[in-house]
Amino acid sequence: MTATRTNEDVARWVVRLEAGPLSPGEQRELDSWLDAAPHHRGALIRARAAWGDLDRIGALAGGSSSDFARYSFASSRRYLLAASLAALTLGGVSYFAYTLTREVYDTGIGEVRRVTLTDGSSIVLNSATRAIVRFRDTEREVRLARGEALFEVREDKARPFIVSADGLTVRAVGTAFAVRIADERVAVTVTEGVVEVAAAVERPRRVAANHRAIVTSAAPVAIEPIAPAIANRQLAWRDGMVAFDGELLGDAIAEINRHSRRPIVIEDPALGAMPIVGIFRVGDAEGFAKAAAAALDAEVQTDGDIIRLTRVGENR
Amino acid sequence: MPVDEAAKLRWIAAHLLPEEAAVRGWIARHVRTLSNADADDFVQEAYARFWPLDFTTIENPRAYFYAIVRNLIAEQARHARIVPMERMGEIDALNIVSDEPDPERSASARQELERLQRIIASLPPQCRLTFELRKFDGLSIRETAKRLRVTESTVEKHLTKALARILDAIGLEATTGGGSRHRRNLLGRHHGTDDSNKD
Repeated sequence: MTATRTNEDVARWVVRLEAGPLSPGEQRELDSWLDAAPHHRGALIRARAAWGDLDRIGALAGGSSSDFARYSFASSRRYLLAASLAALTLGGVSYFAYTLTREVYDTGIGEVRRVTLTDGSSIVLNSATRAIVRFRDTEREVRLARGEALFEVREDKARPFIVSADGLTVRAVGTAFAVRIADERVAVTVTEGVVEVAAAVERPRRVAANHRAIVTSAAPVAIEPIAPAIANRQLAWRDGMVAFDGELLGDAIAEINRHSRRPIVIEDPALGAMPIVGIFRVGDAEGFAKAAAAALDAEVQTDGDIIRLTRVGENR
Repeated sequence: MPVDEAAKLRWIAAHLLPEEAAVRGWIARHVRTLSNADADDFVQEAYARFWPLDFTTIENPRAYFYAIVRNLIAEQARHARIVPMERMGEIDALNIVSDEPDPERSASARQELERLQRIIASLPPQCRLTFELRKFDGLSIRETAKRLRVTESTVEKHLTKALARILDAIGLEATTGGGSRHRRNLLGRHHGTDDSNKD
C-alpha cells in the first residue's frame, strides 16, 4: 500500500538525517525523492514531527499520568523545556535545518500564486511554475525549475538574492524583476532597480529597470529596453489577468493555453492572424474564446476538452 | 533557522498529528470516490502546505487542516482530465465541515500515552528494544549498536521500522478502549461526536 511504502521511505530518511551529515550523493538522493511526488515533502515534515514527539513520550513514559496531562499542552513551559532538551540530544539538527529551509512552490496550469518569504521578499508564481527556495546565512537562493515568476526583493546587502534558471543566474539586492523560462530561452524583465545577469561562461551583465535580458544557449546575453507599459502588460498575470494589445490571435491563444487545461484550437490561419485587444482573466479559456469570437465574427464550439474557434459559416 | 524549525515541528506534533485520523475519516466519509492511497497523499501533502505558514497567526489549526485538505482535493479535481461527476458534488459538500468534532478537547492524555505504548509494545522484540534504547534511554546510534552487539546499520534499520509502524498508526482511528462511541484520533484524544454522549 502507498501509505506504508511512503512511511517506510520517509522513516529511513528521518533516521538517516538524525544519524549525521548526508554525503553529497545522499543529499541529491533525498532532493530527488522529495521532488518525486507532491506528498513527499509533507510526509517528511509529518514524520519528523512525530519522531520528535516520541522524545516527549519517552521522557514521560515513567511519570505519572497527571504529569503527562500537564505536558500535553504545547504552550506549557515544561513542555517547551522538555522539547528543547530533546532537540539538544539529537545529532544532526543542523542538517534538518539545511534540508528543510528548502521550500518548493508549485503552481498548476491556470494557477497564479503569491508567496511571501521569510525575509519579506515575495514571489508571484505564474501558471505551471516551480520555484525552489533555499535561504542561507550568506545568500537567498531561489531556483526557478520551470515557468515564470515575478520577484519583489526586500533589500538586504549582506544576503544577496540569487535566482537561477536553466544555468542562468540573476543577482539582486533590492529590486523587482520577472524571470520566465519558455521556448528554450530565459527572459529576465526588470521593473525596478538593477540586477546582475550571468549566463554560464559570460561575465555578469547589469540589467536596469525597464530593460529585458534574453538568454539562449546559442547566443550571448541580449539586453533590450522595454517600455514600462509593455512590461506591465506582460506581467498582468500577477493580478490574475492577461492583456493583449494588437497581438495576433494565434499568439494570444498560445498565451491563454499556457494557463488552461482546456486548449483553444484554431485551424484557420487567416483567423489566427487577426489582431486582438483586451484584458482577460487568466485560466478562463472559454471566456477568452467567447470574447474573441464576438470581436472577430467567429464562433465557439466545444468538443470535449477542446475549445474550437471557427469563422462563422466555415465548414469543418 | 533551526530554533524556529524545532518550534514548527513541535507545533505540528501538538496541533496536527492528533487531528489526522479524524481528517482521514472525514475524507473517507465524504469523498467516497477517492482511494485510500490518494486520500493519504492529500493528507501528507497538507503538512507541506502548512510548513511555510506563520503558525502564530493560525487560531484554529484544526479548521485550517480541514480547509487545506479540502483545497488540495478540489485543486486536483480542477487539474485532472477526468473527474467522476459524483466527486465534484462531493467536493462541494466538503465546503461545509458539518461533522467537525467538538473543538473542546477532553483530557485523555493518558490514553494518548497508552496508545503509543501499545504500538511500541507490538513491535518485534529486537526492534522494540533498539527503539527504546535510542528514544527512551537516549543512547546514540553507536552506543545502541554497542549495547546490542549489532552494527549501526542494523540499529538504523530497526529504528526505521519502528518509526514506519508509528507513522502508519498515526493515520488510523483507535479502535480499543471501552466500546465508547466517541471517535478517537491517533493519539487517543477523544471527541464527543454524537448526542448520546455529553461530557
